[in-house]
Amino acid sequence: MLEARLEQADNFKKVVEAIKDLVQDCNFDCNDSGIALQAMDNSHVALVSMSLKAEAFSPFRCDRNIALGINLSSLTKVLRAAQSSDILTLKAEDAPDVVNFTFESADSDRISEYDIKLMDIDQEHLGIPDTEYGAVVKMPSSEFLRICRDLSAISESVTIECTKEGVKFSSNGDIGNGAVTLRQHTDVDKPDKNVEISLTEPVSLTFSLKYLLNFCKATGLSSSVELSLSSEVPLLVDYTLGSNNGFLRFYLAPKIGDED
Amino acid sequence: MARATRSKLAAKSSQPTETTESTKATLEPSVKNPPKLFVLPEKASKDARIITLPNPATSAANRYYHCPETGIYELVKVAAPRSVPRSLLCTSQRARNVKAKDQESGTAEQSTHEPPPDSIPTNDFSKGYVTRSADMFVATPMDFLFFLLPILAPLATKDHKQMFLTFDDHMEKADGGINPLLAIPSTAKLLESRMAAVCETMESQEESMYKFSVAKLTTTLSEKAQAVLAKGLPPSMEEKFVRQALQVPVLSVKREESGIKTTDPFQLSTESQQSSASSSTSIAVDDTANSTAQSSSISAPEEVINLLRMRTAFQFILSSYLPPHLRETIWKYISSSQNPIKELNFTPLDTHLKHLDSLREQARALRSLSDNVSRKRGLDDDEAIEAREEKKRKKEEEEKKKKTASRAVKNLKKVDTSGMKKMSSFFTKAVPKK
Repeated sequence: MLEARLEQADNFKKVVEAIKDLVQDCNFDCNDSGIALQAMDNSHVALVSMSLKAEAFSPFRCDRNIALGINLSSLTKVLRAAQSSDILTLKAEDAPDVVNFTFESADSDRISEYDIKLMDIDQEHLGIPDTEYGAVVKMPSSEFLRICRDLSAISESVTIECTKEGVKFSSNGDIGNGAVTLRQHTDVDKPDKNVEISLTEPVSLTFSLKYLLNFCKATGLSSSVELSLSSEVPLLVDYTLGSNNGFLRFYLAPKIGDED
Repeated sequence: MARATRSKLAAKSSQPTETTESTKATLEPSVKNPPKLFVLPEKASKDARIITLPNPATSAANRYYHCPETGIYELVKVAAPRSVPRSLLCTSQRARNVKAKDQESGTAEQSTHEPPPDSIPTNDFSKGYVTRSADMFVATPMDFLFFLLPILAPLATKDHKQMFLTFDDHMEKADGGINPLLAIPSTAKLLESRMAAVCETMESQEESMYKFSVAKLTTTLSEKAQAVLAKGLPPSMEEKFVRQALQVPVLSVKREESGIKTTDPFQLSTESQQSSASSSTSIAVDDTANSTAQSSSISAPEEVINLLRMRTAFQFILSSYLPPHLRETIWKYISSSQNPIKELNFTPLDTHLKHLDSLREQARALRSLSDNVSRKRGLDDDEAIEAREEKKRKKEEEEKKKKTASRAVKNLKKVDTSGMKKMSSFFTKAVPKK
């Protein structure tokens, strides 16, 4: 028996919104510590890892480990029926055929209920080791979105270069080239605007902007984003879910070799 | 040889239905346990009994007819084929005489039938009796040897070294069945002599010691098979296992001569019937087999035909009377190079049959060419159909999946991922935690 009650349906909606354009179907692995998800895109060059801790729910109950295989576009359709401020309750049996969503309006007595049929999804689970990254950049998530959007007008890929001066995003395309550089910045009044760079070695890697833009769908989840880079390993784009209730992490393989 | 057609069960069974010609046709209901008809050996002594022994081939309990003087008989059920239902009318010679006398004297009052002579019980068949099923049990002589084989070479010690043992020691290993027969001295003597036929013997002090020998058994069986051949195979077996097996497909001959491709597919439908003869002891009499015209030629050398007859007889003996593990042992012994029995060297036969097989294969190939209109798809490719359906289903599923994929996911597919490694090259597969 799984029963998870979320005060703000918005949080779950945004998570699903952020993932649904990357993967089609995926398993929500539920156990007593919370709900987790790991999935790759069709090309297997990007990976999304999501965790909603049990503390994010009130209450959270999961008697047995179950995997809820859900088609994300179906889930999106159902979640559209929920308002941001609704109380969302997720329910499933121990060996479920369906997962049940209940949306309760906070200010009126409206209750809506939906069942989504589950599917069997064969997914390989990858073990992701803890990595010491050469460079970790923390910046406002909106800033990251803006850079990606602006540079995608120039080219399909972006080179992220981390030095002790700052982090430089540069693109080289048919119409010309463009670059955005962010230096370390501390705003006491608005800590959200801080840019923090911790560097152990300079790193320069190239990534697909289309994928990065895709990751930016999670911008609404968190005011800041953390980019972790090391040469020859995937970029980690980490959105922390409010007050340490979980995370949404994206990994993207760097482009190696031919620069175009 | 047949002495009596007296039912063993008649005494036990309720009154059999009598069909007297006088009374109007008021048939009594058929009895539940009708009398059975036995043909028993004339020479059998009064002490002969029907006994239950384990069948040497299947080790299931079977009935046998045992006479202390003349040996053991198996009861072979002779039945009419199911397609030709038959009944048997049993009368006695005496009854017929009586009837004839009646007619002669003109006293046709059948109701005053003479009471039968004292020697015949009242519920006998003198007035005629119709059995519904035409089953007949014929006691045919059988070699005690076969009952000894499961004892001499049990399955468990198949590969073990056999020991020289006395007759009594051997018989001690037998678990029931045959043991009570040992109490009869004549039978015990007979058993020992039969054991000697398939064992290496060693004289020690007063007693003889026996050790089972495959070579001796094979020789004995080969002699038996030759005895069968001396009288010729039964026509139905000859037809099914020899003539059909050696039939040359007509088509291939024609084709070699003229290259004409008009064929008669029915001529080619004879498959190899080399499967082993059924091991049951009931033989259905099929008289159609006897009259089948010899439609196609057997152009095999006499030697090959005789070999096939030999093999058929040998195979029949093996499958009817030998336990399965011994059959294997004997076939292995025969096919090994050390096989000393010339009659059981089937190599020329095998080569000939292989040749025939290839001819048939050719004929079949040609046939499928000539009438491919009606035979576009063979009956035996169910698996292929299944595989195709599976493939189709998968394809449809994939298609459906594609359709349900959101636009963004589709767009992401178009992204140039050249130079990007797969995630699995960075992260190793995790052990699925349960």
